[in-house]
Amino acid sequence: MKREKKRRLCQIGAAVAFNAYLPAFFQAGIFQGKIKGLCFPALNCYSCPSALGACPIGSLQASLASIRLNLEAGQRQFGLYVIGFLTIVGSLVGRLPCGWLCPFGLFQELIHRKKGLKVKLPRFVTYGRYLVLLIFVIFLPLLIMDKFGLGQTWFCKWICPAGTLEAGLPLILLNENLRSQIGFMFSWKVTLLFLLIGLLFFIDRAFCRTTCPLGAIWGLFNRASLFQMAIDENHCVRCLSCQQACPVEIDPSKNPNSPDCIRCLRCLEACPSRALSYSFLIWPRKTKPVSISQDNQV
Amino acid sequence: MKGDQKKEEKRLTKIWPQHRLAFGLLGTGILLLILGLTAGEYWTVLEKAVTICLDCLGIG
Repeated sequence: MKREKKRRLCQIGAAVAFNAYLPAFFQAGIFQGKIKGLCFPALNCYSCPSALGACPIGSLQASLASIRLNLEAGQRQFGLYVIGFLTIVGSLVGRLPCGWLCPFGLFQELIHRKKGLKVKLPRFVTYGRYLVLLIFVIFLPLLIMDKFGLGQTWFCKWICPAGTLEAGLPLILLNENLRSQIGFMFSWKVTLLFLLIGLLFFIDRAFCRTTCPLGAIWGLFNRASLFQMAIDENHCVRCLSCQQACPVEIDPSKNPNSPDCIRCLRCLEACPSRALSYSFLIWPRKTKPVSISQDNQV
Repeated sequence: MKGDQKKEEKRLTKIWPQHRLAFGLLGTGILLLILGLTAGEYWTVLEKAVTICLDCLGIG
């Protein structure tokens, strides 16, 4: 089976596994089992009716937002559980879950049309995800308190289109009480979601590249994780096939472990000389380079 | 054959320093996770996760 097919199956399997409690859709509520405190390695909203686990970004914001109140109550909680989880996944595989597990990544790939007009994202826009991480996920939940002394989950509230798609729309459709409460915020979030869908026709993985705070965190681990991509410069013929195949428009032949790389491994498949490879710990490379002359390239 | 082996060894020794950092981060992550769990943070996350998040829905 081709790697791209395996990856698609993996993405679908993860989306189903992360959201396997289907009876919740008939109860107009959400799954409330005790395993839901487990973080899943993807941006998968925990308010999706069928979600079995917690979204690490939602959990991180909730933990940071409640630090002050917890300290007042005598509990020493600083969000270490979620930070530890993010560090473990990042140090093992970096951004690989973005390419292989994330249901919202799968949603974006399904919408994007490979043929037709494509828009190249300016490089500076990709730094937006670090701003979102710092401002909406860390500083605002930590610093801004309401009258009850609680912080808010600012990213979930103002930005997260995964929450709108997986939780907002299904619950509003299923639950009449919630439907009667919708107002400006809901319209804002639905508008953002449709704006993103519009962008996705022209820009592959637009949300992952410009906004996703989870991708921003794991991207920082790409250069230091146990999973590493490598380029054999002796065999690379600079044909740029890898760059053309890359959904996030990086040049794997120059920077195979770029923080932007979602490790979908499409570049490996595209490389005619098999100069690109990956390793996990000391596992040997999976492909043997083939010699190919530059003249043979299109 | 010997040349290939040498190349492979060279490649492995080249990536080991990165692995040291990754193992350091992995150890730190496990330590943080254990500290968080012993402080009862799992239950805090669970409490948040089993309640319908009105912010996520766009109602909060």
